[in-house]
Parts: sequence; C-alpha cells; structure tokens
Amino acid sequence: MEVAVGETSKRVIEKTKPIVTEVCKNTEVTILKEKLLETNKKLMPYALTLVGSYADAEDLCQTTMMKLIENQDKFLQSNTPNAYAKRILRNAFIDTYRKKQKVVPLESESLKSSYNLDATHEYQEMLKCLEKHNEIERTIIGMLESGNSYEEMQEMIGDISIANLRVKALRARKTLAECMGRKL
Amino acid sequence: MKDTIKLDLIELLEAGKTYEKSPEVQLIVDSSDEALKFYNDYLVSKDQLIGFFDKDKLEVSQDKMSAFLDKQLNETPVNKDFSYKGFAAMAVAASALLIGINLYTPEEVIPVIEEDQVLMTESGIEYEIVEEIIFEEPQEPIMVNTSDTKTIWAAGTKLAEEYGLNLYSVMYVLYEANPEAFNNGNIHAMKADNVLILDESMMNSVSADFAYNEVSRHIYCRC
Repeated sequence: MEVAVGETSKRVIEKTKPIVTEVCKNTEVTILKEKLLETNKKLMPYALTLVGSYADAEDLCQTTMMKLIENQDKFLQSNTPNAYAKRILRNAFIDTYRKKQKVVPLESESLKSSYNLDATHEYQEMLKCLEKHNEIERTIIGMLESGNSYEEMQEMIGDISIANLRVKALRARKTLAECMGRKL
Repeated sequence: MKDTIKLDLIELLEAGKTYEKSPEVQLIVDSSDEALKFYNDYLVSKDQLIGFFDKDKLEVSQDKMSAFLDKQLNETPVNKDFSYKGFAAMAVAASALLIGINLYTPEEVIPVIEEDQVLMTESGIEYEIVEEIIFEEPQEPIMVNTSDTKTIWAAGTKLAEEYGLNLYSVMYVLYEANPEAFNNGNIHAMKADNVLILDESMMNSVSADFAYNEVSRHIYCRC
C-alpha cells in the first residue's frame, strides 16, 4: 500500500532522520563494542601465553582490537569471529616480535624473554614450559584456566572436535606438569 | 610410569577428584614414587596456572579494554543510563503525527489548471485536463564486436551474463537481427571482425522457449 506523504510529514521525517541515524549508529557501535569485549575476554589468556605479562598482553590485544575495528565488517560477518580475531592477534604478535628482533641485539635467548621481563621467576619457568607447547595447546591451557568451556575453545580454535580438545588438554597438562617437575 | 596412567590421573584430578577424597586417585598416586612426584608436579603447575591466569587481573584488563574501545570507537563514555524509552516515546509521537497528517490529507488532489486548459463555451467556462505524454527515451543499441567473441555461443553467453537474460533469447536475436554477419546464413559461421547490433528490448520480448527451439533448429538442421 502506498502512503501519501504530505509536506509536513516530509519535514518531520527530515527533522527526525538525524536523530534516528544517530541512535542507530550508537546502537551499532554498542553492539560492536560488546562483541569486541567478548572476544577480548577469550583472546587475553592466549595473548598471555604468548607474551607472558599482562602489560604486553594488553598491548597486543589493543593492537588486535584496532585491526578488528578497521575490519569490522569482516569481523561481524564472520562465522568464527573469535578464530578470526585470534589469527589477527597471532599475526600482530609475530609483527611485534619481528620489530623487537630488529631492535634488540642478537644475544642468547633474550629475544623470547624480552617480553617477559616483568614476570616473576616462577612465571618465567612456567612460560618457558608453555613455549614448548604448540599454539593449540597454549590456547587450550590459557582458555581452560581462565574459565572457558570446551565449546568456547572449539569456537576459538576452529576445526576440532570436543573429544579431541579434551585429549589435547590432558596431554598439555601432562607435558606442563612434567616440564615444571624438571624445572623445580 | 606409563603415559596412559598419567593421563588417567589428570583426568580424575580435572574432574575435581582429590587425593584425600578419591580412592582411585590414591591408588594411582600411591602406586610408585614416580606417580607421587608426577602428582606433586601437576599440583605445582596447576597452582602456577591459576595464579597466572588470575580472574581478578583478567577482569581489570577487561575494564581497561572497555575504556580503550570507548576511546577508539569515538564514543562518549558509554552511556549506561541510555534509555530506549525516550527514543521509543519520540518514535511513537512522530508516527502519531505522521498518521494524523495523512488522515487529514485529502486523497484527491485538485489539479492546478493552466490558462491554456480553460475553454470558453456557451454554457460557461469549462476546462479540460491535458494528460502529459511521456516519451520514453529510446534505448541505445548494444554493439558486439565479433573479433572478441568468435562464435555466437560465446557472444551470447557474454551478453546473457552481462544483461541477466536468457542465453537462447540473446543468441536468437543476435542471429535474426544480423543475418549479414553469418556466412550463408549459417549460425555456426559468424564472420570475423564484424559488429553485431541488437536491441535489449528485442531480447526481452522473445520468449525463452521459442528462442531455444529456433536456435536449436538452426544449430541442428540449419533450416
């Protein structure tokens, strides 16, 4: 049904249009922010396993969030937004690591531990053990300890079954315990 | 100590069982010194992990990130008191106003009468409304260079995709509108370096079934 729109109606529409647009924009921004925060909650443990300190992990997550905001369409439309975000974080980590590699002189293992300067000795040992784990195992350990479910981990990691995740989690725990046993 | 036993022990511990309360855990841990050492190592690593992935610290990080996102998204600090009630009330008022205005808008619009539409008759003044005739602008013909497409099939496919039309309708119109572009009227023998001209409206007007039959007839029996 076609509705005749009079001049007054047009004026009302014109006047309310910016308000409605503004409200819609605010709603979109709020949705994006909520989604980013939800993703950050899951990314943070993984970032911690990579860099070893909260300050560096926060920096890394902020870089990731900036990139996600730049690519918000892809992020919001993705079927696996967390996996997408994790890939961005990993790439950001590699980029930062490379930059540090260019600046820091090549001596010993200072490159890897350059991130972990503010971590305590105990955590240093644990991080050294974590470094021996592959990416999936690190993600599993980090997410499991920060209270995420296996389903959430599956969403983050991607193409993996819950049963496989459980087995990997047990193995990762075993390797970590063995490693810590040798260190302590 | 076998790996399988270690994994069994971890599974039990992860399920919330403890040495003090679970006979199964006691059985494994007490079975050897190695098992006891592994159990202790597991507890140490578990403590380290819990300390490292501290939930309070993670929450603080989450708050920091929230502030960071506010800044990045050019938001004024998120207005948690934002009420949709105000917006809803405004929307309802605007809708009511629109409906009200439309109810009082006369449906029959009185046309404006121009001077040349007024006729003086014996009975008085009459007027006639001269309907405006809109002439549609003729569509520009489509030109197809046969040097790009060597067969009618290729030319037709390209055009059909481009204009979203039926392939056979396009091929039929190409053939019928440009008979001189084919050697001896053979649909398979399109002349090279020629320009075919056709009209989109023609392609639209030809039914797909008819075009299919005609093109098939030319292809298979050349009659």
